[in-house]
Amino acid sequence: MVENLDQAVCTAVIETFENMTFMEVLSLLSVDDPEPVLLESLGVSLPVTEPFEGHFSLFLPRLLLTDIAETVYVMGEDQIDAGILHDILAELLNTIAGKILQEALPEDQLFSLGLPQAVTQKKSESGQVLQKWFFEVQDSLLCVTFSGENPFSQKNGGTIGLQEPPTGG
Amino acid sequence: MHNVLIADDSQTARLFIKKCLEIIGLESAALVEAADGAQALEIIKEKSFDLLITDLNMPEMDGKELLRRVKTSPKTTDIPVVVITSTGNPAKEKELISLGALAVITKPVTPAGLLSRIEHLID
Repeated sequence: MVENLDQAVCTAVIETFENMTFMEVLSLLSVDDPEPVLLESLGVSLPVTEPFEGHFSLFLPRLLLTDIAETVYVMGEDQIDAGILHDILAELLNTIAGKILQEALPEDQLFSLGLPQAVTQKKSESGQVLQKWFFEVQDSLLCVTFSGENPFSQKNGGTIGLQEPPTGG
Repeated sequence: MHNVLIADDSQTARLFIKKCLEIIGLESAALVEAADGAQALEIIKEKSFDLLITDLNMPEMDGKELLRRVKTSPKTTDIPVVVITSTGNPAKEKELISLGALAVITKPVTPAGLLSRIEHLID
């Protein structure tokens, strides 16, 4: 079981983006820095229903999502609408959340996720416990948040600034 | 192998799976899509398929229920079913295999991962 939730989130985001979008992601581990500002971003939230209750959310810039739709899914401008962008976002978060829980929970622990919903950043922060992780991809910022019960033991800390992806699995 | 049914509520996920199947040599014309388990069940009752690939977490009818219904119907019980999930672990995989799934793939799907599970089915 991974004790550091930061590590599980970082690994999940980096590996998911590599496999699903072929984009390199760098993690921003900021402790004392002001929170980065997300501009023109779309958000989606995914509930964790077992073995605890909480929500993961993912926010990506609209332009980056459009780029993914065009380059990865080879969609033309006329095919790309808000529904498609939210669909891509939901699929990314679904995979990221699954990988986080696989890493952070015991191997034999069953877990379940609900269905994704579009969300604003403000709404995603209305939960009980909030943690945020910021990443850089293609000169854009993306953000993962977690709210709700927090069954993970974790270490705080980390260095400020860009870091290389962790090595190993 | 001729006809493959892909059941997933995400349009982009269905597109991604189709691309993976095309990369491993399956004709795009033989790939049929369903947006949820209930729709997939209706389609599979009307047309013959050589493989069903289903997401686990879907509205209306989830992949586990779809798997159960396909495997308990004499008309469809022989169709191989591959389940794709983001919430996979050994216990869940064991449960789905016991229900009749050919294989369980944890997201993200890759052409190599898909091929390793279904290559014995490909002509």
